[in-house]
Amino acid sequence: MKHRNWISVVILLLVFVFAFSLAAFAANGNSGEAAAQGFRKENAKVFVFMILIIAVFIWSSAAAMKGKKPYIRRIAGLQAVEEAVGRATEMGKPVLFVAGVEDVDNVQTLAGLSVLSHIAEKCARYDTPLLMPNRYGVTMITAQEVVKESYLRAGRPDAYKQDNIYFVSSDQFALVAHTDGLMVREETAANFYMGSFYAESLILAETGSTTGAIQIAGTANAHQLPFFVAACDYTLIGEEFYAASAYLSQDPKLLGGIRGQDIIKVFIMASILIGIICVTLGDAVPALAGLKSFAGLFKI
Amino acid sequence: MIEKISKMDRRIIFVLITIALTVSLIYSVDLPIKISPPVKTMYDTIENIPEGSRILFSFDYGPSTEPEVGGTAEAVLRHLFKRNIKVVAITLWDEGESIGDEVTERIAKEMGKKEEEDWIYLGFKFGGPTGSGVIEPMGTDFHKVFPVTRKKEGKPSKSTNDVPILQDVNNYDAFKAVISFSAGVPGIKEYLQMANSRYKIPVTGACSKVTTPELMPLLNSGQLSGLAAGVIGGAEYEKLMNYKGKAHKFAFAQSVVHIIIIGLIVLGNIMFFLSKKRS
Amino acid sequence: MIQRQIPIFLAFLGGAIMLLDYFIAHPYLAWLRENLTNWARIGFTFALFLGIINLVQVNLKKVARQSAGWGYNAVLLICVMVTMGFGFVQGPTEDGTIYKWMFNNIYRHCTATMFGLLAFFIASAAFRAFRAKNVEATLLLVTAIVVMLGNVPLGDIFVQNILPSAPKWLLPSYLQTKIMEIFVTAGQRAILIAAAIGLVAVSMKILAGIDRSYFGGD
Repeated sequence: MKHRNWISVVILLLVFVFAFSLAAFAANGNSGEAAAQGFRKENAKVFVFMILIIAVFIWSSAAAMKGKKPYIRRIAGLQAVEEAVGRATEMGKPVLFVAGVEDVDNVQTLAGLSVLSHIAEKCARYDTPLLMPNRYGVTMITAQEVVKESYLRAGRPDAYKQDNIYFVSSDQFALVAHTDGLMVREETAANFYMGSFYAESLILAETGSTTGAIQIAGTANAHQLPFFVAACDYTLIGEEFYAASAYLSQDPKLLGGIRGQDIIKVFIMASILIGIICVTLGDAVPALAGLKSFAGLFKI
Repeated sequence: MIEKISKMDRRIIFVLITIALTVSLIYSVDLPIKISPPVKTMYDTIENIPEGSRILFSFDYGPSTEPEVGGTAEAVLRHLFKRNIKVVAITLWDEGESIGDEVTERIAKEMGKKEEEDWIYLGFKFGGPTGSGVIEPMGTDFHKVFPVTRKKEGKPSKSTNDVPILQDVNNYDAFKAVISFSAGVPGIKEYLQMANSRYKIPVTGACSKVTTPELMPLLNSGQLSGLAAGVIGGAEYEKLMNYKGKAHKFAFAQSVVHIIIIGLIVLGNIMFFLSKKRS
Repeated sequence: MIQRQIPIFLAFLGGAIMLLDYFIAHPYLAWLRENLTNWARIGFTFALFLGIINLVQVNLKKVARQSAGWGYNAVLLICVMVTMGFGFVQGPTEDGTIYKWMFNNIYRHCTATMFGLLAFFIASAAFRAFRAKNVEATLLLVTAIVVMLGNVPLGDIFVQNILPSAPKWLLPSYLQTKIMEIFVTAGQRAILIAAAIGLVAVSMKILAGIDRSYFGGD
């Protein structure tokens, strides 16, 4: 299975590069509308950077699969998932999962659904009910499939209840009002908030805290992080949330991807540092004014 | 006693806040408002727009954030009409549809402006979760995005080509700026990402206070031409406009609640240290 | 096997078209992008019907079984039917209709009320969470107080009443501006950059079919 995955990745990438080259060649070949067509030069730097990220990512994942599994530091929020589900099982209360208030086209919702599959598997093993109210129909359907598969993987397809993953309303605050009522009525013992959240984050987290539930939140929306940090027991911040799926699965290729992300971050940090030095020197020393053009390399 | 206060029932806090808010909203006090640089920049951006030009005004908020951003929207509309700048208003939020209608009509009437000549409200257009289905296409063909005007009671919709204020509008080149009042997504950030970065149109606006940190890097880099954040930003803009509206009233209420929250935090910490000392 | 490969391929194709359009200006690509976006929007809109069907099914079951709190489920069903009914018959944006009246006089106030709860919850969360348990918590607590004071005019008045000759840099409004401009901006940029890289990585994994947990896993 591993080799087939990588062959398909490489084929897909080659198809993309081929299609890209063909399109660029075909576009440049049309003399009539050449001015309005062809490669968008203003996005060239973005393209180069994208290729760099993909290359580093693929190399890192491949290296992880061949060699030692990369070390990922302990993420308290993810370590606590097992504890949270266990607590709910002991108390005989359900687990609540909210995958954010955005639809499935938002990457955070997809990341949340990845975490859901792991949580659902644990709930299946421990025979703990999992409740998941949804804001959008597509998210609901996707979540139903994810949970069904998780229950199958855990060997408990009989325990799966489709009605536990349901649609509430496409209005943000209607979903929140319902979820708050659900937390208080059902006395959920473990609440997971994994996805894109806006103003409702504190309303959810604070209500959950009044019921005494253990709460684990994860979002990349930085403006909601303070509310989750204040009201939840554990919070996954930004990139930790995106890394959750890899962390929970401990799949070497996904863990390798996280290492790849860290390599890119180091590259960005180094660029920032070099840029600061170049621009500062360029300003301070007239003879080195040419160094300031380094900053222009990164301007989009 | 210390334990009791330290673990005070939430309901006592709720009652305290209720009383504070009620009293401060009824008996409002004028506070000295200091104008902050981002609000001044926004004001200056609008001041520098030539008279008779056109701007795109986007109501990207709903009823929930109306108290926070609505006051600023009204103040800016008054500023635009005072300077005889033509306003083409839209909304990317379905909840903001009737808010946009009510606010533009009321302020335009107050300032003696004529619909379809000095202003027009085109209503809500669904552009997807990030508004890309509206923000991007407006840069190539405005009339394709808004082919007809909004239907109103006693006023059927008609082609936007027949509306005087929209006749020579093809894309963002027809507008001097985009002013977005946003409480989330889609909003200012999406206009910056799609309209400003691609079509180079200046973007300014107001936002809810909680989303301000996200926009600070864009403000500091100069991509955003000014920002009025939250109720206080609205009060500052009202001060620049020399009138006291909704934002001023809410600013006092917000101030009182902030002081109470700080008092509660200090009280909680005093009890925490006392109980620590005891044990 | 083919059941899994087709969705992965379609996901890749859709993503590739969007990416290509970002880098290449071509009428065919623009046409594809526009239509794919429209089809996606139409698909998502139809998914709303699925949601409504699910809503009716789940709540109807509870009403039929007379489960605990079934009265609320019945109220929900009635509200859904009434709102949808008036919306279909009279149109959702027509002025002077019952639907518009319900929107302006019920929905708007309900959402504003829910949002208003935040004021109370912030107070109770702040009281509970902002305790000086360690150095980091103390730093958080002090910063929160300075920013809250600096955000409102009363903050400067408060400090100036205690210290009439307080220098400018001691005023909460000045400190709050500096905290926002320097520390918050730096922190936000760091989170933004890291989250953006994470987003690219997750998107890449999904487009390449490496991460399939969003449709059930391996």
